[in-house]
Amino acid sequence: MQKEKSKKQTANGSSVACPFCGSKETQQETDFGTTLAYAQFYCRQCRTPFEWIKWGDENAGNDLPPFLLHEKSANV
Amino acid sequence: MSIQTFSSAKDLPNDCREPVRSLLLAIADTKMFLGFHYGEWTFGTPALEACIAACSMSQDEFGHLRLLHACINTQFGDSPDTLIEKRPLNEFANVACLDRPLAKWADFVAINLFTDGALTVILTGLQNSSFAPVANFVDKMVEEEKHHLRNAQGWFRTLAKYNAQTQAALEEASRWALSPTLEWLGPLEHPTMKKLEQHGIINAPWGILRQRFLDWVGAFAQEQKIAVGIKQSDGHWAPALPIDFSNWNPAVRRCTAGQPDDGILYHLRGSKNDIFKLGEHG
Repeated sequence: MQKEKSKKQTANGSSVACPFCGSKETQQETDFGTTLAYAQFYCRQCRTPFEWIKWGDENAGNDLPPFLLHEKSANV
Repeated sequence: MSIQTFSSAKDLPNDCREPVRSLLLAIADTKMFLGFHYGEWTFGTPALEACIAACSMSQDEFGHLRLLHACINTQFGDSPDTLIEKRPLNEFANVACLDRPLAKWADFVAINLFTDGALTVILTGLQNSSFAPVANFVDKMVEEEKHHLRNAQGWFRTLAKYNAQTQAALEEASRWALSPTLEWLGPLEHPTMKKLEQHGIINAPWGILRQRFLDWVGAFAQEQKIAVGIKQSDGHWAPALPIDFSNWNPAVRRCTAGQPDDGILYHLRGSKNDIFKLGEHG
């Protein structure tokens, strides 16, 4: 039975291109890859999973608890 | 008012030294047990992607543990060997829900959100700390913890909306994890925490850090329609049933006696492979 691929896309509709076929028909599978610095993606065009380095991820700061959005604030 | 910076533990005011050591140890102990549970669940997750996340988070927690133990060793003279191998079980200051093996995936998600979340709030409270040895590494930890909480929130949302069974399991697990986590955070005010605030070791009163945690989890759980045993009043969230902190012990951060399972310590200490321990010269 094929596992359903229904995880989130990146918030910008996935600007991550598949390194195998170049398609942008990709979706993010998980926040982590083999190391913390990687996220896992799946290419719907060539049906290949691949890892993507998070640097430059404009969405990396989204979906964080409020106390992490104003970190390093001055003493209260 | 400018706050003095302390470059080492010997510069700390006498009444502040033990509270700092005790807090660092409690964070380290909790991270050690979180790391164990995350690691143990690497091969028990319901999805392959979650197993990779569990493994990554476990590595992070043990990395943080090493940083904390190195700091405690350098500043206060407790060797990592003493802190892990030679301490009586009832001296560990971890959050009590980590004492035993986790029963189900929802428990994993609950400790990921509530326990790891509470720890992260405290770490943000240590940012810009006047105690330089901590200020030097805490930013790095907070950066990594952001990924843990994104993972926790994602799974919490998934279980909250999947079906009635996962909702019920998540609700039960949330109550199971949140109560001891709040106990570990302690009372709104306590003399030891007050000293940390007075000397700028933490950047906000302890009660505010605790409230930040409650306000985040309260709003988040409500958004997912999961009742976790806290209620909103006067714009802030508080435990539905007040916690009696009269017997709270700041050394282990618990109200009642308890200790981690020696089976878990058996694994953490590597007791099965005692003869292969090579010691510091290995």
